[in-house]
Amino acid sequence: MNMASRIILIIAALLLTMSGYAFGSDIAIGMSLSLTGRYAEMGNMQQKGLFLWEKHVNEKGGILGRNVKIIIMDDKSSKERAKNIYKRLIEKDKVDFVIGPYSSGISEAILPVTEKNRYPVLLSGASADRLWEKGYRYAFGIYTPASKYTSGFLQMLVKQKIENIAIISAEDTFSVSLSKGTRKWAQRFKLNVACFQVFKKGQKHLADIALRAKESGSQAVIVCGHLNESVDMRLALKKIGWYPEAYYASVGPATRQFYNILKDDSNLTFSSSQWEESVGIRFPQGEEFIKAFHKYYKISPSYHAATAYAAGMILEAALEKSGSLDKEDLRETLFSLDTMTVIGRYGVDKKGKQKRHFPLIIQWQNKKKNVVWPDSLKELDPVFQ
Amino acid sequence: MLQRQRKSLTLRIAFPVVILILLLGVMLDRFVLNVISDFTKEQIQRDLGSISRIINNICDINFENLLMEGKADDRQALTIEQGLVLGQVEDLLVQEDLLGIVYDKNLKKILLKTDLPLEPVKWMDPGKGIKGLKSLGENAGGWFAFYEEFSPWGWQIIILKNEIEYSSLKTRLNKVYLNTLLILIFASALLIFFIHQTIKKPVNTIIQALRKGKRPNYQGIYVFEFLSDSITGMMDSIKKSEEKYRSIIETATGFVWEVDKKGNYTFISETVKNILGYDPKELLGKSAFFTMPEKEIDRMSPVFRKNALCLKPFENLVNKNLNKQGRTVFLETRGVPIIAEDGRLSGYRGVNKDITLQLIAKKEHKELERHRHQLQKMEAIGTLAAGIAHDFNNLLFIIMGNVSLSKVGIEKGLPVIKYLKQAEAASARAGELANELITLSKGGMPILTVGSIKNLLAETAGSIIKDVNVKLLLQIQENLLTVEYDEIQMKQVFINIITNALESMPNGGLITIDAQNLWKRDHTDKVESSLPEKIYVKITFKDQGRGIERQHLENIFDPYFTTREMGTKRGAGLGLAVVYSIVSHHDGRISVSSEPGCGTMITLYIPACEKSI
Repeated sequence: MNMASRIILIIAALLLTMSGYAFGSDIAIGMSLSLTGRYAEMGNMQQKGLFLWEKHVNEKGGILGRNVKIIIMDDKSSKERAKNIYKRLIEKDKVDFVIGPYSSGISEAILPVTEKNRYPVLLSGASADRLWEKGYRYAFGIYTPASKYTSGFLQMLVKQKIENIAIISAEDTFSVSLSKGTRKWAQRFKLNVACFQVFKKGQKHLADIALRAKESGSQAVIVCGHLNESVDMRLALKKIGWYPEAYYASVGPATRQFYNILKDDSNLTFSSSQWEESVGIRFPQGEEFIKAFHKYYKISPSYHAATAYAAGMILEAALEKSGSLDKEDLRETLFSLDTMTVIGRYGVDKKGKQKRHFPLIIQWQNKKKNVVWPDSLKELDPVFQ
Repeated sequence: MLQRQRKSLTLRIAFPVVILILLLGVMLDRFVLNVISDFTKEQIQRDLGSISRIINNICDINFENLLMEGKADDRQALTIEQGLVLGQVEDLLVQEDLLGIVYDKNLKKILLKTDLPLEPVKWMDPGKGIKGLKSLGENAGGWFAFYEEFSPWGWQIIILKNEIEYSSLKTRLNKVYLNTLLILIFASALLIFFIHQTIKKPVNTIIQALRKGKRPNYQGIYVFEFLSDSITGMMDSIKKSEEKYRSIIETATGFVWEVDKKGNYTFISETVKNILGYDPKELLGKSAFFTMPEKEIDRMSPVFRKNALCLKPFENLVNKNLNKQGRTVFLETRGVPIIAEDGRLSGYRGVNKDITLQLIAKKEHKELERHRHQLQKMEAIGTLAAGIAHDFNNLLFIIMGNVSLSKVGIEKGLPVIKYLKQAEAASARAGELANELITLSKGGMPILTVGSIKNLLAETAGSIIKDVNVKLLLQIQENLLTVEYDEIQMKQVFINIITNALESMPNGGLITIDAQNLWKRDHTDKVESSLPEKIYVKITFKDQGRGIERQHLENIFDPYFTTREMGTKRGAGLGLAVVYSIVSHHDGRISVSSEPGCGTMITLYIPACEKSI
């Protein structure tokens, strides 16, 4: 071999080495988040939670001796955009790992991509049961499944001797799962579902549906949707002048924006929450997380921020446990992992669906969001009309 | 093609092996399936029993909690607790991939029902107090139900599992079967390949060589090598034997033949060409009587037929045949019948030997014997006659002298002179007889000179056949060879023969005299065939007289044998005896043939002079 050939080989080897470390020695973790669009409130919270975890984990020396690099791209609350982002992250940028986007619908869109490329994905913003009924092998839940969101609220209704309820649901992945689960739980608790209505996502005027719920003799109204639906239904009820004994709406009331929009009309609204400061502070590292979040962002973290942070913690624990960056090893570890995070306990069933985390029931009382269930963790007693 | 495949060596060996393997496979499958079925049932009972106990525990713990919290009678608390239990039960069932229902016997209502593929009430009979494992029957499609009760709440918990859930075991087994099948197919292919390589290939090598008529020369596996060498040895042995047999057949004096039951040739050896002049192909398919003259066929066919009917062999059956050139060939036939498996005659096989020369030799010998006997007879008679004739001549001289003297003293005109003259004539005649007798004796040996008998024959015949009503046809070959002969004796021969001929034709006729050189003898003629190997001048005298009776032909050359009346002047019977004697003294031969009423033919064979040849 002559000198020229040797030089060419050395250069080629160097180029290959460089191309294999596109992100240097950092562990690249990519994801899309709804930084704009209808899920922007939740998406931005998640971004804050993840950046905070990135800061914390790198301060501790990274994972397996390597720093972590979080790469977030805005999917603008679009399924198609999110799907393309994950394709790019995995197939072009070749990130080491990915974390799921916000919302069950968008998560459902990106799962075929991660599945095809055998990338384990922690779904930190999705809870629809349907995601784990499609046979995906690389999807791991962090949230309590949607079908269990309302269990605590329904128990409160039983105690309150309410017998008839109305279930009103938006037509999206998460909301449908939630409404079906709620109906099932209602039957278990021997509650009569007097009204079951489904409306199209984005439908603003819900007065007619509210009227039908009223006419059904329902004593409580459960709205399965996100922030917009929770606000719209509250306004629709007000419009028809009906205040049921209990009004529950998923997701939206857990955010500060719900109050900011409705102000006093938000009062006595029930909702589910994956995490609340008052409860999270009792979990390991919960207090540090809350303090740090306040310190860096000057606001209180929502459960979306906490679950995003928790996703980082779970990934960190799994990689440390498996001792390698191999994706198949990570997948096996995520199935068997049983660990504590800032939002509570992590553990999934054999399909990857979260089974150890439990939701909280919160209620807006006097401009403040309070945990009202479970009894052992509640801040205040629930109040009915 | 199919028949040939069925007879394939590989198939014959591989087929029973494959069948045996398949039978074992089926038996194993039946056995294993039963075991799996039992095992599946036990496993279902164990699994469902275990889950059922867990569910019972969940119910129990929650019920205990209510009791401990003093809320056993709190309806809302009970509802919540039961609802939570139902949730846990459903989660557990989903987690374990099980189906089931929770039936409230008090309310007679199903509290929980997972997504069932069949109508549970129809098959499961909830609320009927059934406990333990129960198969829901064939109609339920392989479903098993495990019945458990939680009495405090009046719940009947029924957990369902389909035996298909354990199909993984069957699937694995099927994979094992599939793998085994593939191994067996591979093994069978290997076996066939092995058979092909170790048995069929060597056998084919040997067979192909045999089909081409070649000696197999297989090298490889010892057994087949031995077989190949043995066959080669046998072939060599057969070839040698065949060559030997062929050489025997080809050099035999006869030819070997085979005929079918109709008597047509199916095989005929090459030597037939030497004997009959026919190529074997010309005779194949033709009758064995093809070469026989019609009269011979008439004579032989009954003999053949009779033997064939009795399945008897032929022994030394002499028959006359004509070769391709038309010459007579005498064959001696020997043959044995060929008997088919059914015991019937399928033909004959045998040898035909050419005995023509033997027969000729026999004839020659007989003729020579006859000639020798004739000579001896003539010699004995001649010696006797010569003695008598000598003494007789002496006495005749005395008688004739005395008669002559008596005549001298007697006066002319006396009657006694007439008697004396008669006595003198009789004495002279007696003297002639005595001379003839002397000629027959040793004293008549010829004085030979070389010359042509052409003129002698013509002159003698001309002088005798004159002034009579008999015509002469003289046919003498131009270049007639010369002979050594005694002119006087030979003339006597011609005179005697012609005289006899004239006497046999008192009413006239034709005498044909033919003289020619005899280069090639007719072997069918018993005299010609017996002649020594010389060139002869053949002289034939043929008349149209009354002929000679067959019974007299043998004696016509005996002295004093005559068919004429005794006492006549010319009835002494020495003429032909003299002819015979003279011809014999010339180393010649004489033959006579005659048919009564048709004339007589006398043939002389006089050896030609060697110098003239």
